Amino acid sequence: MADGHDEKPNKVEAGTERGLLLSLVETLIPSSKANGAMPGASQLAEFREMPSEEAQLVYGPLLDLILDRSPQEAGENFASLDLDTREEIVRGLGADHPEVIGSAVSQTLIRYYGAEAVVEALGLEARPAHPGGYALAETNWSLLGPVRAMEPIYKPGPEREEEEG
Amino acid sequence: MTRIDPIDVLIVGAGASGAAIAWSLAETGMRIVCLEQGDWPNPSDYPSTQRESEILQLGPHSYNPNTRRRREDYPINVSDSPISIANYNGVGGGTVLYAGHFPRFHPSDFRTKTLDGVGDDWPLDYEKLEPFYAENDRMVGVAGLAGDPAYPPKEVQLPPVPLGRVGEKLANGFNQLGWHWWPSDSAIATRPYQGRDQCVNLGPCMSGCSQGAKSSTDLTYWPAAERAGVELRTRSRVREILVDDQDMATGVIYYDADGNENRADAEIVVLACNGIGTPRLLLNSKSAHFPAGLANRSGLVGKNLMHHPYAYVQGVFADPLDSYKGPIGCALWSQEFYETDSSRGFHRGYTLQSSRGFGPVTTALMGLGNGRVGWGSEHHETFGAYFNRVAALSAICEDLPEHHNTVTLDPELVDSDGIPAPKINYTLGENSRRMLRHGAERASDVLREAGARDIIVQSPLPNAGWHQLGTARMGVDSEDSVVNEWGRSHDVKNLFVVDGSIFVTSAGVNPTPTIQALALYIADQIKSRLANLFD
Ligand SMILES: Cc1cc2nc3c(=O)[nH]c(=O)nc-3n(C[C@H](O)[C@H](O)[C@H](O)COP(=O)(O)OP(=O)(O)OC[C@H]3O[C@@H](n4cnc5c(N)ncnc54)[C@H](O)[C@@H]3O)c2cc1C
Ligand code: SF4
Repeated sequence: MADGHDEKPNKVEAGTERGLLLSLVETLIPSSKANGAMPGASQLAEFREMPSEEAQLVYGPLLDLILDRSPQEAGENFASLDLDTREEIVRGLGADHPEVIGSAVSQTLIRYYGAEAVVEALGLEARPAHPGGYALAETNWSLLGPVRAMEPIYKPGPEREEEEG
Repeated sequence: MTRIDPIDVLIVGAGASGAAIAWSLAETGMRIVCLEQGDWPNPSDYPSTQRESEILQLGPHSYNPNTRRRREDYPINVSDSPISIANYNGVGGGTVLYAGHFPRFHPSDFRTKTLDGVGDDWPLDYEKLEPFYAENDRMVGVAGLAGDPAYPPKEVQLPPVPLGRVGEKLANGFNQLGWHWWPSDSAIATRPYQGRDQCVNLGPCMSGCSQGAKSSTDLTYWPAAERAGVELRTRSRVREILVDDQDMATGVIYYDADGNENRADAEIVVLACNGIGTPRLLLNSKSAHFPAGLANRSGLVGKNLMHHPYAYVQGVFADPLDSYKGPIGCALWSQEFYETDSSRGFHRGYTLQSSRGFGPVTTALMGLGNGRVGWGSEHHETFGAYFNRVAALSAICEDLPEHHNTVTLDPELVDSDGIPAPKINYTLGENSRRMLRHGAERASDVLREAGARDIIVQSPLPNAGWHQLGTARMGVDSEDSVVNEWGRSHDVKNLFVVDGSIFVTSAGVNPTPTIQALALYIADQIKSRLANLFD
């Protein structure tokens, strides 16, 4: 896939194309006020500062599909469309090219949920798990009461069965 | 080629079984050398020391060697198997990445032919293995609770892993159905144990425990074995085992870290490369006396590969569960459906094991895959309803030995030293299919009873080939087994196999306690027979 695209011009190189990329990732993960004020993907450095080679590799195939559309909906025009219309366009492209959209969405999710700002917006601590770890409350083992009252449920091996007659 | 000084016992593979036998044999004072293709793991490199931990687990720290692709990982062709292989190649072997479930077999597991007319009886039984289970438990430090009605009485060393909200939900579900459940036996130090720190609930045990709380053999057996004089040579990959005209093993050819070819001569060779690595090495050791592969006069090397097919069932709850906190695998299990009940339509049975949820990256990707998390305008709502709200149960099903499930040598694929790599041919048997269906249904019952509002079933779990068993099985009859009842090859009287390959049946539980108990048992047999070991 990467090789195939190497021959084509890098669409994310030029400044205007960065705008196209950001409008695309915002379409995939928009901001949300309702769900704990989550940032949109286009606000994150992970996408704003993504090296153009990487952006080309991840989004090139989807950008190709967008740029291949009629001029009113493609390129710079795509970026100026409202969010709902952009989503409709991308869903339409996804119906015919599920693997292209699937790959772009997965890569966007990985970068989005890897971003410190997003982790914090989810109410989590943006730190490595180690060494701090997490606390888990001690368990109240009285929950086991009904099980403790059970008879053994394992089958003895045949020898023991014989011994027991 | 460099030739190194003669060795008394040469062990190949420093994982679960190689470590246990090295430690046990050390007291004999023999010169013991272990050759391991990988390196010592470095806990400060494990993903949980990084904020990008989840992303690292998708690539260089994956448990799938075909994704990880480190120098020491050999590729495995799984194009003809619905289940891909998970392993770790380095000191500690699979225990570096294991979840730490530490269940023993049941007494009935050693007698499936007699009891249920399927599989085969083992040439030994639970009673014979019990002292070695107990010895292994003490080395490992098992967290759990005595008194489980699913097992004969046994001791544990440490208090159980806390259930957390996930485990409590599930426990309530089981209680409402009146079904058995019990806190898992876990190879996790819930209190400081023999110099190891206690678990701090990091979560990603399956990418290595940077806290050192999980009992991988690089932390348990190996330090003790090295103190007792065993020499462990890392980055040493064995290509083949050599034999003489009397059908005795004389040593091995291996490649060192710089790719140089070496020869090591030994009186006894012990294979501990796991259920894929061991048949691969035997099949790579063809000679005039053994044209079908070493120790393969039975034709059974590489046959009867057993996994544990998993039905993975997630329940999505309305309230947050803190599900990414705590050991991912270990909380509780149920053995309500373990022993055969012919009314269920299959033989033998399974354990239901809980697992906790994942961090945001993994949750988002899983949700995208199973259709629970969307993109665009629906993304945040769907993600919010899924993340941190999952409690899961896996049915870990007993797989029966079937000749057509095999490890062979791939005609083209090779590792970084040019050694032919393994190919897996595996299909799910009808018994396993029925058991998976039953397990998925019963797990769904528990989750619904516990209050789940959505149930997601994945069966068989495709990336769950972490238990590799049966490919050099043990038995009394040399026509029907590769090694005898104490692990010695029928054909080569100074060659032993101690890893998961020697399993006769798979049982419905994780295998490592049984693998290690067998390795300790075989070590004990070697020690007690030293005077006439090769007769
Ligand atoms: C992600 C994951 C989760 C798991 N969870 C559990 C669990 O919860 N409970 C449980 O009981 N089990 C679990 N397991 C399985 C467990 O790790 C294995 O059962 C156990 O490690 C197998 O022991 P073994 O001695 O047979 O082989 P391994 O531990 O795999 O060791 C084999 C060693 O041999 C080395 N080797 C192979 N070929 C060569 C060669 N030619 N030359 C030199 N060295 C070689 C390898 O590098 C490796 O280090 C899990 C495994 C994984 C990967
Ligand atoms: S949860 Fe415990 S055992 Fe697992 S990685 Fe964390 S500290 Fe280690």
